Amino acid sequence: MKLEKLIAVEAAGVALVLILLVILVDFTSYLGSSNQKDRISLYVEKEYAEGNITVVPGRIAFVRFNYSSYEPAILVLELVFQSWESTGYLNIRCNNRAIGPIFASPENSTVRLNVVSTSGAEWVEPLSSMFGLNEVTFESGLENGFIGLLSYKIKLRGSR
Amino acid sequence: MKNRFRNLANYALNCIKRYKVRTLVIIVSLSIAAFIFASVSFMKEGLVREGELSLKYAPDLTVQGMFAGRQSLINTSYIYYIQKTLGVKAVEERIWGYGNIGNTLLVIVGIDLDNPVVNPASAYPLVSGSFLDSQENNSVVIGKAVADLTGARVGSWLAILTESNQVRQYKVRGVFSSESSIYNADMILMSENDARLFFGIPEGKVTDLLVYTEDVNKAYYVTQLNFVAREISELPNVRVLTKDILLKAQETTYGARSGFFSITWFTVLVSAAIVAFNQTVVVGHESKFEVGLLKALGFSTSDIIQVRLIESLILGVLAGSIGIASGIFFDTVLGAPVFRDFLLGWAVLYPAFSVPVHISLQTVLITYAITIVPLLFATVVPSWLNATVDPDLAMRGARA
Repeated sequence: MKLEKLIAVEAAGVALVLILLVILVDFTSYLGSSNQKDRISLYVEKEYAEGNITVVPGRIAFVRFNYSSYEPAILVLELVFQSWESTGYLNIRCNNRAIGPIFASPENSTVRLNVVSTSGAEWVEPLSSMFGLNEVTFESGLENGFIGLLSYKIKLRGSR
Repeated sequence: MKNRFRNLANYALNCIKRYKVRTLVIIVSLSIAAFIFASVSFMKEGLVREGELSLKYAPDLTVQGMFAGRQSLINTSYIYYIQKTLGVKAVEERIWGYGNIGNTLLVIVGIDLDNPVVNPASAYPLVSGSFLDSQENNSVVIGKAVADLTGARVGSWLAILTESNQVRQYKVRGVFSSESSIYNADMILMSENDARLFFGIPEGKVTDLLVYTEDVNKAYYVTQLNFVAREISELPNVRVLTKDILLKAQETTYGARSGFFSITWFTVLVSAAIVAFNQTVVVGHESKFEVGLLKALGFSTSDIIQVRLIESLILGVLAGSIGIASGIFFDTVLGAPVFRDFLLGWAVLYPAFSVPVHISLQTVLITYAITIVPLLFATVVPSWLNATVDPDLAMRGARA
């Protein structure tokens, strides 16, 4: 009788530990699944966001996308300038880091920007930072800034 | 004599067909040994040849700075002294270094575009786009591996976060052709000034100096080169490298790596020879009655040995051919998986990179030699033991 009770208590104890473990894993982002199925293989390009943005002075337009893998990725921005109120510089940032200004003009109406890093710091933040939320912002340059409509495609490429 | 040999050869062929297990075992084991040898040799020769190609436009001498026994930046003030050396035609500055994207190691090279000694069109053949313009900053020419990795193409912009966490933007002007793929596949070529900014190298310093010597008769070339090298070596804190040293370093690296394969191959070959010996002994026992009968019909001991040697020759040639064909298929069609990674030793190899393969007559002949000679040695003793048997005893023994 005592043995049966002991086994029941032990089983209940194990079940309780397992339940607590599942809760702990579920609520701790660091222990969350890396969703490795979202990993992008080397030489493979995957589209994460697409749309149109109107760029006006003094307002920052942003695009957000989720990247749920820990693998470092190469950012590819494809921009097509649709309308021109003013040709000029467009400042692009990814996760608050300046990619740099690009000059938008009718002669330069399509831009493909491949953004890589050799420093060790990554452009695209993985799951461990901001739960994989990434942000690309577009802002008209302070002087001689671009004003108009552009369509964008945000793509990521695997780097390893 | 001719007919006699033809008859012996026909009989040897029949034996090969009849003793199927022996034939199969010998061919498979020898083919594996020949395949390993041929595949690694073709690849090693291809790599060495590719290295020679890449050094075709290399300077006669490369001068590097040294500090505390390690390579360091070199002062551009040395150019003045080097140019004054007898036999020196021109001196060029070069800045270069490495950068990692993911697991791929890239080489970023900055060259002097204003006064190029070597015609860039010859030294850097392009598959698309155009070469760098000395009047234009922030433009690059990239290798095929870089283009495939980053997805950049002619006309796109490459934004690179440098080691100093600064972003540099470059317009992609062209993509290198794969004529010398191992040399420029992972290269980003830019102007010297752009490379200086990229790596944050101070003015008056460069990674190395490229020295081109005067065009002289081939007979005097080495003498002149040695003289110039010796004169430059007199400068403090420098190291002088010749084309030969660079090529030998490559050959040594590939040679050492292929050496590991040679050990594997040698082990396989010895095993194959033992298997062949064993199989010939087994067949020798099985064919005792047959040998006795042949000898009773007038075959001499040397005829029997000849038959066995012809068998070995045919099997050796067949196994060698299969090994060579498999080696070529493995290297060229499959891209030599496993072997390639080991021989090149890159951290992560550019997967689309086709392994340079060079099939030389010498390697082909050596492959045949390594399949035929050990087989002949392994089978000659059992064949002799088999052939020297008394016909009467052999037939009665075999029947019993």
